Amino acid sequence: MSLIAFQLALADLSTSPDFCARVARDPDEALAGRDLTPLERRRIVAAAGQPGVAVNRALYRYNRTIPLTGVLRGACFLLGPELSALSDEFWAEGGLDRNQRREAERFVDFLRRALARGRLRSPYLAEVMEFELARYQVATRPREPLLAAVDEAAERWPDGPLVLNPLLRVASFTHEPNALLGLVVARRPPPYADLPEGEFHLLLSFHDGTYRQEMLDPTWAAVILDVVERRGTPDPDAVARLVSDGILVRTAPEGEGEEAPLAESAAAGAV
Amino acid sequence: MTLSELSPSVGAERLAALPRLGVSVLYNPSLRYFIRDHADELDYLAIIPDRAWSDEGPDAPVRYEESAAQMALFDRAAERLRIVGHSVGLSIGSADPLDTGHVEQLAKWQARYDMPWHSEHLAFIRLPGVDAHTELLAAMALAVPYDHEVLDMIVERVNYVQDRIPVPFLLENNVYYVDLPEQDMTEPEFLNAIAHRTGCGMLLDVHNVVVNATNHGFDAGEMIHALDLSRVVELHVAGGSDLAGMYTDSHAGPVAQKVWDLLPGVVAACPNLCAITFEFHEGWYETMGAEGVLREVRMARDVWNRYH
Repeated sequence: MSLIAFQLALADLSTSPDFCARVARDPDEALAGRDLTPLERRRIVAAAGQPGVAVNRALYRYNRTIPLTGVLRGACFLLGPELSALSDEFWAEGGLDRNQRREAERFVDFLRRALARGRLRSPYLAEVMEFELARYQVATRPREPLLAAVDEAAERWPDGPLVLNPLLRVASFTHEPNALLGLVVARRPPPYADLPEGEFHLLLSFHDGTYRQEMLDPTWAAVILDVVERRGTPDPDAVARLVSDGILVRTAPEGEGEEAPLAESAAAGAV
Repeated sequence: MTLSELSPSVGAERLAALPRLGVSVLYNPSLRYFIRDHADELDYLAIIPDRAWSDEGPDAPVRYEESAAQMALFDRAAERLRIVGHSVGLSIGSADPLDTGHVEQLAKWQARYDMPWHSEHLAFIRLPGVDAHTELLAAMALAVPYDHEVLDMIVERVNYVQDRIPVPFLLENNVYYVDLPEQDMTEPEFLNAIAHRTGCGMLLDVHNVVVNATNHGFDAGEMIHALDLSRVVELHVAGGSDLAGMYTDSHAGPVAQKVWDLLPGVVAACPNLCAITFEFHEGWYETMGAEGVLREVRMARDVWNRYH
């Protein structure tokens, strides 16, 4: 157990300036309750007083930021100088997840909450971050298991409820997405005064090693969203066409097949 | 420990039989088109397999969700180049049990791309026992103490990895910014002991040595020549930058001059050397461009060609 306690203490020196300062100030108090040998304790105390701890701390911050800026580059740009303080708040909620997608999903969820309570007010942030997360999901999700799940669901539940094909995502915007994303990629600081506003949807897909995004016709987008969100009575002919094109697929009826990968994928596809 | 357990000859023949590949780069996402356009300038492609999949955890129905985009890219590269694996996620130095599922996944990728060897850092990145359901990372590769207790643990794990993956396994010397006092062994003694007790090879990161020598005041050349250089199969060369009063292994653009200064002597002294890999942070591609990357590759090749 001792080596485990030592590694945790060494990592804590790098992640927590407060812990590091407490070790330097009063090691007995700071290390109380940690299962360290006298040698490990001497090493932690020695480490806390070295300039290398500050380097580790800077690297910790940098390396924790990479998964976020890598997946959510535009959203992080829109956060601007607020990113640093928001990151601290987010990191205080938990350690770095080894899964980059999950880490990005957790950060997006954190930002959704910050937007909901008015902590963030950017009019572009929500749609850019949801788009970037959806793009990452569609490009990184494994194709074969999802295709197998789609085929299995079609066979087992030919009349099952329809969901968006888990290999696709629909990203919704209230600003014209190509113009908005172009400005963000060019790192033009907001506000974007001349952006056309309205209801826009991009269909995101990944096939044969190539990511694609295309603007959805508003009529088709409405049908897809009605089906996915179980609202209204979509035009049956349009639904049949979307099924035929593989954009909508069958899934398990409620209460059945919860273990199927498609159940989770279907939920993730509903935007 | 007995003398027979600490034998310089264990595994040496296996390393000597490896193919001499030459010079290349460690793949990062900025190199997507570079690989397509300049494969003829490379002798192989080093990849980080762990970055091509998403680890959903041991309890997930499908633990490793492999990125279709990354796989497609590596599959195309593999049609023209040998693929060498350099993983970052095994955390062989973590004090909690070895992640055997991760080893199996690495074995799968070794077989998929017929990698002649694979490597990992001698470090810990996974934090042990934080939570029963979620494994967390330290967000950096932290060095293990060079103690007998840790040596025994690492040796057992290296043996396990070598049992599961049928090609030589290399451990990379780590960078460290904090000095741990009262260690049982020096870094070369520790690395040599692992190699001699397990038969594994070494990935010598020359820049890591330069970083440690700069920050902790020792001679990089002396440290390198204290290693059993017959164990070195691959070299990493890179650049760094200053941060908070120290020199860091930030992979900032071109290879550091101190690395170039050391490289000819190191290459000459490594009889089983098979590869020199240039690694840089992807954010530097915009500054260096394809020509900048090729310049580093060609400089490394000049050194390689003097001895091969």
